[in-house]
Amino acid sequence: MMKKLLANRVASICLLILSAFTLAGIFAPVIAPHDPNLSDFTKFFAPISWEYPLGADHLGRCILSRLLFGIRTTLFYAFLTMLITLSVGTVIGIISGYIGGKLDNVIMRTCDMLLAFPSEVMVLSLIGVLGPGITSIIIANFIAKLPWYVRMIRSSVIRFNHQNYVLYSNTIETRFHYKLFRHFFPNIASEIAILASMDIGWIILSISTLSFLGLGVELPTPEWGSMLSEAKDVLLTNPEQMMYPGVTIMIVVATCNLLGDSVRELFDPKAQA
Amino acid sequence: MLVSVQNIRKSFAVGDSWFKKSRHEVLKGVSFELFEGECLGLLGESGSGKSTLGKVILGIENPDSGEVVFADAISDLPSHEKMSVVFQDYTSSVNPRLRVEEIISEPLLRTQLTHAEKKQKVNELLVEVGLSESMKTRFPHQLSGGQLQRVCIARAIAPSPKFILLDEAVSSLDVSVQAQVLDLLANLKQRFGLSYLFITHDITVAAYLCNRILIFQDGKVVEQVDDLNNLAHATNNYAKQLLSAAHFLERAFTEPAA
Repeated sequence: MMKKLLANRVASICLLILSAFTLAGIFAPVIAPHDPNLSDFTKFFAPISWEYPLGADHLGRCILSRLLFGIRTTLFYAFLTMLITLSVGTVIGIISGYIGGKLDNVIMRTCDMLLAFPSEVMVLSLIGVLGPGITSIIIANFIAKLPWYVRMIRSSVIRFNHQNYVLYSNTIETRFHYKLFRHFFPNIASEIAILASMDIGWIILSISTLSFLGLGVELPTPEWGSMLSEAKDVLLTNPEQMMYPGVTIMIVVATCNLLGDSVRELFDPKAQA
Repeated sequence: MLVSVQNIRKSFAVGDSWFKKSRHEVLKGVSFELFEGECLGLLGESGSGKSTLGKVILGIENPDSGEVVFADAISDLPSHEKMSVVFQDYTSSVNPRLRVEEIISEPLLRTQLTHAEKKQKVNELLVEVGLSESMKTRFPHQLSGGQLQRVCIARAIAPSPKFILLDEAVSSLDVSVQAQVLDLLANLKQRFGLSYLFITHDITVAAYLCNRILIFQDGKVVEQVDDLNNLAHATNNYAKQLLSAAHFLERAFTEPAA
């Protein structure tokens, strides 16, 4: 699977960019030139210099350092959300598809109910109930995205459940964990990879949007969306302030979406002639 | 008697509506017995419910009424030593992501064999079904249809089951490979004392391998032919049609054009 990904040029460039961002996030305290929350009154809107590679913001904080530490909030919380949603979605999807019957009906109708609301409305109302904060963002995104995962994974489990090799396993009553790890997981893993890489961009945007609206991380924690929001207030005097977080979000989200597209192309069963 | 099928009925809901449900009866009271060491042919056209009957016998579909009774000698055996199955569609019968070795050793998982013994057994089985040991590291897509069906047969005989259901097991192979696989099946039956229930729509294939033939139509057994020499004298209309179709094809090839 990895071999195939690396053979594809777009996918490998995207993976390279994402791993660079991830590493930069992990080593932010080492590579950042300044403390991201240290404000220096003499450096308001400092221009680009060796000391401040991307300049300073309206409180005299180093923008590069804030962007680097922002990876930890935006990107890492997006990964965390994805991980939680995927694992819970996979478990529920497999239960629903494998057991079937009444339980399946209850789970599917609940999903239908959740899917009846547009995701954004769902996320906003959940945060309204839970109150702002990064935990609520994760929970809200999790609940908004979960039904999609459950549905997708359920349908592939049902598809594989009707394959003759699973019928054979059922006939000789092979243990469930063999069927799970040998028959189901390897076959749905590619679908999970497609879903995850397509959605990670959406979650990054969602975290940034909510922070932009002031519903996400608490200030002054560096976060790309809240950096945008702060820069918006000085849009007329210092428009370049919006550029740095904006471009960063754009690069990361575009990378994730491109990666998602190439993963889908690589693993779509129909594309495998 | 090895397996006794007693008055099996099975119907499926038609239309996926919550409010209106009608049922379509596929099996309308099927009874027959399979004896030890024989090959019983179940001959019927597509859609007559043969495969559903097969699934009921394997225990992966529950009948609405009736039951499948196994002889006392085998009824207490774990399912993998009791029965096995070879399906028509060999491509979906094996997990495309597993190697031949893993595919064949799946039914050996529940046995007490050690790892080395399992490997040894897989090697023996591959030779047994006319493949070479070197094929065990291949993936299914690297094998031909006939080879893949042999892998399925190797998997089916691996735990030495008493009875094997062959659900159109040769129907999707081309004719020359069909003959080879039929010979292999006949050979294995002799050597391991297997019993087959051979589901097919092809009367010549059934006549080649089977001791007795049941003619199956619209969810019922309409005729039983105990002596295959009498096959030509089958009384049922459907059986006559099948026979004349087979004769028609035969004539077309054997008699010179007028």
